[in-house]
Amino acid sequence: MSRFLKRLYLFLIYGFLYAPILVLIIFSFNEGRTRGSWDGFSLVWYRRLVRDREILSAVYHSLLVASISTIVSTIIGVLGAIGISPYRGKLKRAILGMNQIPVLNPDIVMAVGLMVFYRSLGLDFGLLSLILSHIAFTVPYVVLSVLPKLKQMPSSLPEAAMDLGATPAQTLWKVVIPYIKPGIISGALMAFTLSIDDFVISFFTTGSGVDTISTLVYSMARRGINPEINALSAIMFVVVLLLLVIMNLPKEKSAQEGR
Amino acid sequence: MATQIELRDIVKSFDNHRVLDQINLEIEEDEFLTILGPSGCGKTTILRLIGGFESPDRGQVIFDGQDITGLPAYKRPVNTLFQKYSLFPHLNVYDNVAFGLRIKKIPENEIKPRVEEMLRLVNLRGFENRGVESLSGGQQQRIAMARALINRPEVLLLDEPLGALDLKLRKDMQSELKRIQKELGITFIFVTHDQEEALTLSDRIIVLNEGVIQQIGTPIDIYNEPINSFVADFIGESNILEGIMHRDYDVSFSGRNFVCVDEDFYPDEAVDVVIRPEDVEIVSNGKAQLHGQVVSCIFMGVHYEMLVSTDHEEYLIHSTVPREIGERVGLFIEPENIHIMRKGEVEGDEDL
Ligand SMILES: Nc1ncnc2c1ncn2[C@@H]1O[C@H](COP(=O)(O)OP(=O)(O)O)[C@@H](O)[C@H]1O
Ligand SMILES: [Mg+2]
Repeated sequence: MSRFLKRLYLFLIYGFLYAPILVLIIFSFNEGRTRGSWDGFSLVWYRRLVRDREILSAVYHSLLVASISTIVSTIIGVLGAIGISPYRGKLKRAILGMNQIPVLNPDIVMAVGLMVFYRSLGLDFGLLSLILSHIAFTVPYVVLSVLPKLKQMPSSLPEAAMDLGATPAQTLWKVVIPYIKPGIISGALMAFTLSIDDFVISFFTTGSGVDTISTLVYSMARRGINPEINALSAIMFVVVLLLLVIMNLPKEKSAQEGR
Repeated sequence: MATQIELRDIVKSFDNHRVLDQINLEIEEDEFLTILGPSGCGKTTILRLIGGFESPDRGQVIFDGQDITGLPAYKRPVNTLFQKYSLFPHLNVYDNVAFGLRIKKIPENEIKPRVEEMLRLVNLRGFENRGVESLSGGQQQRIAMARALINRPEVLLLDEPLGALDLKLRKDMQSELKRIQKELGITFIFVTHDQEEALTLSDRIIVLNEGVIQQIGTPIDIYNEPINSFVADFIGESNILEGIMHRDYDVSFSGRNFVCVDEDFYPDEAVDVVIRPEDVEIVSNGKAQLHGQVVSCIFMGVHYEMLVSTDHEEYLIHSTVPREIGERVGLFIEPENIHIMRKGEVEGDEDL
């Protein structure tokens, strides 16, 4: 009996979490415009979606911003983590704390902060400001996913490389980076998904017709119900799901190798 | 033999704690030199100073007459065998061993025979494609050795490389180390806290305690003529007693006078008297210098280890004949087995 209740509880929680997404995906295949009634299966909204210039340009912007900011923030984050890792004690805790604040800070604070900051610098709002913002809020996540790997690495590894004649730069490329690679990959994937996923920061720091998927969906939703949004959201959900699966694959694999 | 490495007046502190104090040391070409001392005494730090992973607060590191104190590790003609965990986990055995040569941009067709030669040297032919994590501890250390030696270093630094291995394997590896050192004719600077290992392998031993060199000498010198009670105790279990050196050849301890073979002390100087357990003889009462009661008697395989309590202290005795616990016995010590040591004397003091 109690086992049945436990199952039911779990089922209800997941039902609550996934029902909206399920409904969304189902209605993205709906023939009609309304969300109230089912008028039959159709791919019409998907067909409209791929012909909608506005949406295509938003998808392009989202992917562009996510790619560039992922590359840049991965480089910054990896170097940052390598720089932080030798510190010990209070100073290390202080630096790590400063790294964590943007992670815990509400997005809206970061968003408004960035907006005010750019305005005070006289920077035009657009693609550049958007990319800079995305770099800024994803770097801490890269640092956080690389640091544990660096901590795991015995100091004798880079020392052995230098002992064998490798310069510090060669040691970084040939020994340190390969060792922390799993951390770098998961950090980069995290940065990419967070960037695609972001609405608040993008909304406040973009401008002059540069829309990302999420800012576009927001403005479309304000204009009225448009089932293309359903189709777009369904695609995004599937893409994020795939990324999540990829992200979790290497971990399981290495755990099995370790056994 | 020529001096190859010289440490001059090295001082090194970590967090205001002086780890090495005035280290002066000359290392000869092609010798097997062991730095021996208890854990935390600064052995690894000396090795890291030579390898270029630490820089001294004061003093110099000289290599072949040149000051290399400021030279980074990757430019030094020495290689290190680390204690453990130093093979690159993302590379297989072949790529690990080839690492140093690839850094030097040696062509691949030259690298291949040299890797094979090194794997033969460490008895691991056929392991080229194995992942390093699939190897046992002993095999990993041998690969690490091949990886270091392929660069043909003039000096190999070894930091307790056998410390993580079990006893049997350690014995095998010890003789292998010695063989390889002879075969290649290069200088080995070996760090250990295991006195037996040091005595077996070394041409010379440096005994280190709390960052101060206690004694430098051949294994036989150090075993037979320990300079102070620390060395005597560390090199082998010993009886260390408080004594007074009245005049040449006349010392008193355990409440009576003994004849000894030492000279040149101040009149009535307080000294440490060191007597090895195998040098205390159990004799009949007529010949006895001391009397005591057997407190314990344990069979140790080759000999019995006994504790005999006299009026003033307990003596540790090794004997082939067991005695009953509680039995009263007489003890006798030959004059040449009584080692007299100045209190706190270390290497170099006699020059002052
Ligand atoms: N990087 C370091 N930072 C702080 N203290 C250190 C460092 N390296 C060594 N020490 C200290 O120096 C002393 C000697 O260390 P070490 O040379 O490793 O000794 P050993 O190898 O003889 O065990 C120890 O007390 C150790 O704690
Ligand atoms: Mg050590």
